[in-house]
Amino acid sequence: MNSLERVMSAVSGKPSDRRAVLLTLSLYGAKLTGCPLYEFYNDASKYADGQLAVKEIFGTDVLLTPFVLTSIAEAFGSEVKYFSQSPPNMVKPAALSFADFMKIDMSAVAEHPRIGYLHEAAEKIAAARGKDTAVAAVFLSPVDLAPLAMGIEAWLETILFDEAGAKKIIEAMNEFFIKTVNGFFERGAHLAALPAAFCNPMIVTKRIVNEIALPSMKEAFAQLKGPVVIHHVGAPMLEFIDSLNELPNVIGFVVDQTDGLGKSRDKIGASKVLLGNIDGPTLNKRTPEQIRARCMSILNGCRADPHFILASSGADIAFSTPAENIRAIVEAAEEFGEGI
Amino acid sequence: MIDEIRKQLLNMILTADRANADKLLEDFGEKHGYNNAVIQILDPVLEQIGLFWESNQGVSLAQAYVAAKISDDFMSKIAAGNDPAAETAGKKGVVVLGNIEDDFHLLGRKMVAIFLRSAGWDVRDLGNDVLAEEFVNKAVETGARFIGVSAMMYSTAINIKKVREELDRRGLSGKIKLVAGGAVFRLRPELLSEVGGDATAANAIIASGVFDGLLKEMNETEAPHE
Repeated sequence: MNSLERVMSAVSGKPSDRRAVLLTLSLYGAKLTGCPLYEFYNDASKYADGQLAVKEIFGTDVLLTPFVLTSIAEAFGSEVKYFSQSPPNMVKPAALSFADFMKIDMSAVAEHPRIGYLHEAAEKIAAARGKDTAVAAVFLSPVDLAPLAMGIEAWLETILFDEAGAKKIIEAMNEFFIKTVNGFFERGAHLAALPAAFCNPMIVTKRIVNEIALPSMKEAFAQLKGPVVIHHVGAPMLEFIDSLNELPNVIGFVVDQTDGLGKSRDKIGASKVLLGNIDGPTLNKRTPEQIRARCMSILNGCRADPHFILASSGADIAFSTPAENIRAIVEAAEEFGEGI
Repeated sequence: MIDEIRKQLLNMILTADRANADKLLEDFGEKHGYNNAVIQILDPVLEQIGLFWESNQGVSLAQAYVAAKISDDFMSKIAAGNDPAAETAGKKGVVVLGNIEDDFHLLGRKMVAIFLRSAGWDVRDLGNDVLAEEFVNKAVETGARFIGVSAMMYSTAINIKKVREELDRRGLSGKIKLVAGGAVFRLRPELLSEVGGDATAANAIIASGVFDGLLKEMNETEAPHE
């Protein structure tokens, strides 16, 4: 059984030789190939080489397009800063208000070289490994795109105090989102992995969630040409995960390490794919033995769950994580075997 | 009557009704004094929202942001009008505030600055991407007894450890308290000791209470024994 078959087994709830493993090793590819991060996040070939090295060395079942959301920010005209050991950060948004935002040419954003970089990376990874390994396109939910153009504060200011303006922005973002995410599918991605924060009632009010965020996500997701997995973005999602369950094309969720797989499963029902429960950012603080024991415990707990994928939650696995720690996860899945 | 007005303000903040919240405080301030508006209305409501937020009782970041904007609106009016209430501004002492090296998530820091200023602290906001040495230099220069460092993500939060190391290196630990904050500290409670922080606040609204508590503790420690 190859990786793609393993992932598809989890989607369809069929038995597989072992549990599929998805680890957020986007950044880590640069460590494996020794590529400086500016080049890595700007040259699609170099990024793809990193993912191929991830596959070669760790044998994970899902490869990722660049997890570099600042690439989208750059397409809007925002300024970003690059680092030597972690993904870039947005330093200055392109727009500071609704009026500023309306000056952005969204058709130019969709055609921007930074979006081209993301698409090209997807195409190269899919061309090299798409027949035997799942390729997940990392983007953002449509309601989470605006902060990359305006910063969180200006977006909150707009969504709270200028609802008509917020709706215009979301409308523009939806169009951009649909075109870009479908572009990933056209280039061979098997699924879209979408971090979503602005549909979280811990972030925005319940009224905004129900009257703005969810309707716009529903409309946008319905027009996608492939399946979606929603990612928790570093915050617990148990309290609202069920509100996302019925969105079109959503096949699964990467939950927070604190959410609990059993409780999450209860909320999302029996047929959706559930991904977790390894804390990715702190893998560098554990020993391979601890990680292996943790994975065995998770795998045992999910023994009867045919739609479970062993995955890391949180942000990218850090540069400083020893390769043995990562290898321990796949080895645990291999040792555990069939599971169901 | 006071309870009813507080309830109204709470509801206005939770429903993001900024204009009416501003008006309510303004009206109360005109009738009963701006200082009373802060002490009797604004502070208790903020405290309640902070507690709701801390205990996961349905307060979102957006609602806390509305609370910050309303506080800022009102305190700005007080400052501009030379009201006696403005005289308490900054009286508690200096807090040096900033986002740690490599961190650019400014919203939480800006909200903390608003609530600290509203509570009578003199905030020196150094902005984003601040080096450990710059925090400590500014604290020494201004005589601050507190450094507040913000970070949103785990990967940047660990840089706060450098502030502790800088304080240790200069023999200032204990004399200058290090308060670390940001969403990641709420999600990962063990992180505070990892970076060597003296305290953290579960959210921006209750941050002033944390600084007040540390100040009281320091004053009690320093007070001569009878």
